[in-house]
This record gives sequence, C-alpha cells and structure tokens, in this order.
Amino acid sequence: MTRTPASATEKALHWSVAAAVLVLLVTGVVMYVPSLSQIVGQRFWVRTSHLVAAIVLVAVVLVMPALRWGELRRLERELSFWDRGDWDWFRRPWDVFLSSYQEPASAPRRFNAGQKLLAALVASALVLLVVSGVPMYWWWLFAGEVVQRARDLHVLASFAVTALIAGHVYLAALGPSGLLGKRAAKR
Amino acid sequence: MSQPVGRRLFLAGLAGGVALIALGGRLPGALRSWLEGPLGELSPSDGFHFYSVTGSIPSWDRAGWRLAVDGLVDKPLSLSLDELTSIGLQTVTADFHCVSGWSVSSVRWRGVSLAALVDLAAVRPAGRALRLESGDGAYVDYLDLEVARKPGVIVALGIRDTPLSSERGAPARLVVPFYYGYKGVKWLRRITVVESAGVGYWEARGYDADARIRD
Repeated sequence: MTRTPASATEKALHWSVAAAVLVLLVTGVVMYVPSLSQIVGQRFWVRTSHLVAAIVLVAVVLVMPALRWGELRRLERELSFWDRGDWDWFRRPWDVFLSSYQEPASAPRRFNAGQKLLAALVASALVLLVVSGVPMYWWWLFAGEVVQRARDLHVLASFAVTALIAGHVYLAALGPSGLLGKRAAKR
Repeated sequence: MSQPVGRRLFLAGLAGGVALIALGGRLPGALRSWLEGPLGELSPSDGFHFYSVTGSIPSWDRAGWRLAVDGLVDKPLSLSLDELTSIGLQTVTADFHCVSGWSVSSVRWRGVSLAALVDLAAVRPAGRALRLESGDGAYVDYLDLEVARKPGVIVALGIRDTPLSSERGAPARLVVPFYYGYKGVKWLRRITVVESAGVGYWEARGYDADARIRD
C-alpha cells in the first residue's frame, strides 16, 4: 500500500511543533532537575527560552491553520476519525513494538492508530501545559494554591508528553521499521 | 463506520487534566511525588529544591565570615557569627513556597530578628529600605524597612535545629515567611540601609515587585 506523502504544510507544522517541543523539553528539564539547573545556571535565560518556545508553539498552532485552513482541516479529520481497523493496532502491542505489525489492507489510511492516538493525547497535553504554565510564569496574579496545583499538572503533563514522544521517536525513527531502522536494514 | 475518536480523546484528556487538578484534592501532588520518587534528587529528603542563578554554590569559612550593616545608619556594624548570635535567636516556623510551585511545610528556622539587627545599627530617619546582597555579589534584593520590621522576618542561621548548609544559604540567609522564597537572599553578606527600595535580581528580570504569597 502506498501512503500519500505528507504535504509541505504538514511537514512544516510537524517540524515546527517538534522543534518548539524539543526546546520546551530541554529547558524544562534544566529548570526541573536541580543538578542540571546548577550546572547550567542562567535561570533567567533558560526560563525565558522556555516561554519563547511556548509562544512559538501557540503561534504555530494558531497561525498555520489560519493560512491553510482547508488542508489542515482535512488533516485533523484524518487524524480524528477512527474505524474498526484502527483498533487492531492496540490488539497487537508486541508486533507494534517489534515493528512487525502489518495494517489490515481493507481500509487504506494515512495514519495508523498509534499516530492518531499520539496526535490526540499530545495535543491535549500541550494545551494543559500551556494553560498550567500561565500561573507558573505569572505567579503574582494567582493564589499560592493555584500556582502549586498548576505545577502539579504541568509536571504530570510533561511526564505524559515525554513518554508519548519517546514512543513516537522509537517507532518513527529508531525502531526496525523507523527511518534509521530501515536505513540500517538496507546496508 | 468511522467515529471522531481522536476528538473525544483530546477532549477527555483536557477534561481529565482539569478534573484532576480541580477535584483531585491531594491526588495530583501524590501522583507527582510518586513519579518523582525514583528520580532521586527530584524528591529531596528535606523537601527543598536547589536552584542557582550563577552555576555554583558559594561557601564561606564560618570563622572569617562577617555580616555588614551599613548605609544610612549611625552605627555601622560588622558582625561575626558569634556576635550575631549574641543579639538573641528566635525560632520562626513557616511554610516555604517557591514561585515555581513547590512548597515545604512547617520549616523551623532559627535566627536573629532583622528588626533587632537594624535597630542595633541605628537607622537614620532617611533610611526607608534595605538592600540585601549575597556573599558572591550575584544576587541583590530589597525590602521596605516597614516589611523588614515585621514579626518573623529574620536573618536565619539554622534550620530544623542544625546550622544552614551551603545549599540553604550558609552561614546566614534572609527569611521572610509571608513572601515567596526568592526574597530570602542566601549567603547574606551585606545589608545596606537606603532611601528607597531598588529593583532586585528577579524584579529586574520580570517578576512583580510584590512577593506576597496570595491566599
């Protein structure tokens, strides 16, 4: 089955979100892990980089659909709508992990269920991260209790996003059927 | 037939996150602690996280350390640890809150009342604020004199019945129990009485000047 390749808009959206999330993860980890915080110092610049990356992420997610509404609306539908074949992906986690999973040929689709699940959960977690980041950054506008709860949510959502992205990178790049895995198999 | 499962998952994720925080009571904090537990330094035994703005922890020889109180005063002071202690120690127990959202409950500090210290230096009428400087000179903050004289504001020398460690600001640090932790200048070396409060380290970098912990 030949998949429709990603369009330039889809690639731009994917990689700009990926770049922003990478900066957010790195700066977030530096602020979160005390020993890294101590090695890096410069807390103001790390904190500012984190904020700028979050603003870039929000801007990308708002501006790109505004520029390419029809195309990204189709993408959203492709990612959102699941059919019976999608559930098959979840029934064979071991095959997925070892990249030996073969999709049912009945319904051709651009995204497998894992990619659809990832898109929904990462989008959800990123919204929670942006929202919970507001009381953490502008703490003086909120009660101490709110700041504390926002941090709890921010940390939990960060753990979730990290786990999801780690799985995504493994399956898309590092695993046997990922980009690097396929390249290694060709040699 | 296909269903918009992705949209439902997205909305469920949002609702779940909001519900966890709004209705979850202690659950989110407990869940976070459980996840952080195996990661060692993310759940420190004393509850405090250590952040640095310079990339190093200053350490001072206690025997040679002195605290200067100068500026708009009639009797400038340069006090050793023993001299500082002889002013009289008091215990202050308060929750410690960091602006990044973590807290440590019921921290027992031991130190010298800042009001007593500045009174000893005899502040001139023009003096309205204090400039507090860390020993390495990298961190400066200000307190209005009126705030500095409030009960519980101390130059702490000890925590939980032990002398301060370098990470906690040894040999002396400021404790303002009703303010967020960034106001508690660590490795305190110099207190200068000035006419008005200037702009502190974090205020110069975007923090609000009011560090009060809001209810």
